Amino acid sequence: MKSIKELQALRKVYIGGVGIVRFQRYDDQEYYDFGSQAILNCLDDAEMEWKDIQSAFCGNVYAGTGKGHQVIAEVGLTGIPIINIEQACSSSSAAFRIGYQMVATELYDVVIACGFEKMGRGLLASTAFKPWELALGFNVQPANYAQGVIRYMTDYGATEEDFARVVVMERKNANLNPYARWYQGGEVTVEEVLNSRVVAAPVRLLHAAAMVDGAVAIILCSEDKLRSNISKQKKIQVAAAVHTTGFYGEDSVKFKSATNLTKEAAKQAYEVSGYGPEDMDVIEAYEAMAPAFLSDVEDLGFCKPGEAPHLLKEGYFDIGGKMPANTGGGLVGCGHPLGATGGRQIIEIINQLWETAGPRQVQGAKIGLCHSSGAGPNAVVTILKR
Amino acid sequence: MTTNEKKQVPVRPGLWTTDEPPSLIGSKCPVCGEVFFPKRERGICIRCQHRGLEEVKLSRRGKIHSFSVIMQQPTQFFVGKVPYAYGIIMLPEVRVQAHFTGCDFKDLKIGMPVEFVIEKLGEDEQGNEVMAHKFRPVKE
Repeated sequence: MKSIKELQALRKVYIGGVGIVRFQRYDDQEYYDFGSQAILNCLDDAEMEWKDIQSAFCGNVYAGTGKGHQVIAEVGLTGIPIINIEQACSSSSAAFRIGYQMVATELYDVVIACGFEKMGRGLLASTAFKPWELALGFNVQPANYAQGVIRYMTDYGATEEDFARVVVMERKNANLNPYARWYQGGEVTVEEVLNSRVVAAPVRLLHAAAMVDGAVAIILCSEDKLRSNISKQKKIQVAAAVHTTGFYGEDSVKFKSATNLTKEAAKQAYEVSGYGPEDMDVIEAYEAMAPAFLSDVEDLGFCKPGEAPHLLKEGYFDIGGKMPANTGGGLVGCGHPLGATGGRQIIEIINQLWETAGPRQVQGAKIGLCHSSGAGPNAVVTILKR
Repeated sequence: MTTNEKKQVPVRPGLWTTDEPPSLIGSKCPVCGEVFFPKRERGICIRCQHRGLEEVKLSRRGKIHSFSVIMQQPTQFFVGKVPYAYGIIMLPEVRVQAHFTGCDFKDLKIGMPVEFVIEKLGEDEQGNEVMAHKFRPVKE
């Protein structure tokens, strides 16, 4: 493995363009329909043609054989290598990382990282559990989150109101994000969250990210290949892209909690980028269930364990706050099409650094961090800087 | 055994011993001392990678480390009934994930002492009684 210094000496990689389709149900479309639309949006944004793309890395969970190939077949057949990447909810952030590495190591100059997902209708049987675990009903994601949530409440005195405030903040931000499921969806109150039904105590329905469809695409390239004005005028460089999986220990492999691998991914990302949490202007923290936001920002080093609830209450993580987080609404506000979520989080940071985030813009944002996690377990931490 | 008695099958073979009272079966690494549940089928220690784990009986009592009460049907593969409660139990040797029983789920608390029991989870498609390892609250 390369040393930190060697990683820092690799060729610089820049964002050429981004594409997204609104996260919502696409009942009359297949994944390759809205998936290819995200690619077309990305090419337009980058002012590039499909023939400029030298390799494609496609994040998706459920679509099956040759999924990236099916999406790209709707755009063009240029014979380039297309790689399908499944890393559960972190699939497209993992795809982004591989795309970054391909350009950084100078194997390619222009690549595209995609993410797309048409979510099933009704209950989904995760293959991340063994048959006897399914028989025991151990595969309920809200319940597996709940195990950590109840510990967090016991260890730090966090309350149900604290978790509800995460939802309130994210739905407020999603109101301003035209790509979010809950765009113009109205604000919710702490009381509404507390009155929503219990799915797996203490996790409630309004804590959960909605199951929606969606797609994203991001072009990564060398500096000389940048084409669009914004990408050249406000160059965004990938400062770190790190992926970790489970470490043996009580909080990781045994019980699928993401604490240790998130801490490690953040540590490596800070080392490679040369930045620390105090340097970040805007962040994305992964929360398929709202309570996880609190422990994530702690694991990522933005505050000490147990401090996140009172910081949230003070507005610390609001768009106008000291450490704006999940400015596009997070998973709770945007909805969660598994394979598209990681890329959507990265695009939110890109929009903030390009200052194209409209009413949810964080003034003067120059450096941002994006954290994704996924069953496996996986953690992906990306740091972008302008 | 009378004809109307239903056949009992474990949710997974090899989870517990057949002696009385039964115990959960784990694996212990003779090198690093780590204990695993369920036992590691290929006998490799996933902590230190030593090959050749030893089968051990686990303690029958432990304490609740975390829990949740599930109000929604998980998938069609679930054999039990909703609502149900499961969580993590800290045994002296290792943490175990299991259902809770023998109490009102509202009374579950972190740190509560519990003991291992084998109990019916539900019935499979053949009408067999599927048996599972569960933990029930006990007095200190």
